Amino acid sequence: MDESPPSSALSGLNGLDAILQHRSRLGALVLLSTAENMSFSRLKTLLDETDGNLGAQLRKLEEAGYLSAKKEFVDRKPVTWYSMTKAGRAALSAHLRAMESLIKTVKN
Amino acid sequence: MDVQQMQSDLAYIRGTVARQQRSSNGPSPVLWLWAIYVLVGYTLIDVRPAAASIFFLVAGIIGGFLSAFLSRRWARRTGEYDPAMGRRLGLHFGAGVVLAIAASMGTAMIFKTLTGQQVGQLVVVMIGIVYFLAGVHIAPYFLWLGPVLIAGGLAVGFVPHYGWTMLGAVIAIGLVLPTFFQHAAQLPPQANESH
Repeated sequence: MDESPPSSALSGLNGLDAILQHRSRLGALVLLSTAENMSFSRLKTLLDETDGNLGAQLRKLEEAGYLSAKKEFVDRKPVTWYSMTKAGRAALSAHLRAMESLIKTVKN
Repeated sequence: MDVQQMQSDLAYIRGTVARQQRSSNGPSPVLWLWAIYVLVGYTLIDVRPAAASIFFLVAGIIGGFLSAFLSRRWARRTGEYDPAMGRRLGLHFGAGVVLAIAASMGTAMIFKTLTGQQVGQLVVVMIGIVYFLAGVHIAPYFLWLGPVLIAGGLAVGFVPHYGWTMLGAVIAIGLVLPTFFQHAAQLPPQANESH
């Protein structure tokens, strides 16, 4: 009896992006796919994360080339704006497709 | 990563996006600006009809530029800046209103029996369709304003006095109503940025 996982499950697993397997990182990219630019504080509020954790997760996304950050001053206070890069958009799309296919396979 | 974890992550992300949508009722200053524009313009139709069309044209153009400026300021305050959405809304309402007026004028030229009042009503009904479509495709908070405009545009012909003023007041209230329900999540972007 063949107990190997079906090929659709394997392709789903292979398509998952290791960087996006953390939900804050995935959440940040999903939010940035709905609005071109978001500030650190806005992301923090929406993702319900602490400063330290969100900062670390966003740095990982930046290092992977999925996000770009821009600093500016609003009312003489520093604000970091994040936007998704083309690579980030492609990675998010591939990751979501893989998740969908994996969940479908398991449900079937 | 197991499937349960994946489903829990997806639920978390769904909640996050829902929170974002609940707190995005549009830039309040822009909605207030157009509420004042509508209220003043529609009142002018009743009290000084000759000045109304000039007001709608001049204040409409100034309002368009002012909207762009206010939206950008609002975005910097709330920490969410989406120029693509701004362009879509600008194109939708700018072109939509111009086309609504042109279509009404065209109809008036074909059916020469239409009075000035009826052409005005037709413009409002057409603009109602523009609002409804904005609600369907771009910003949900405009959805119910469309049918209100269409019903108001039809009803205003049956109100003997100050019908346009009343309609203007209803639309103005409809425009500013969502601003009272802005979610507390819209904090200034500089708040607690210490990472």
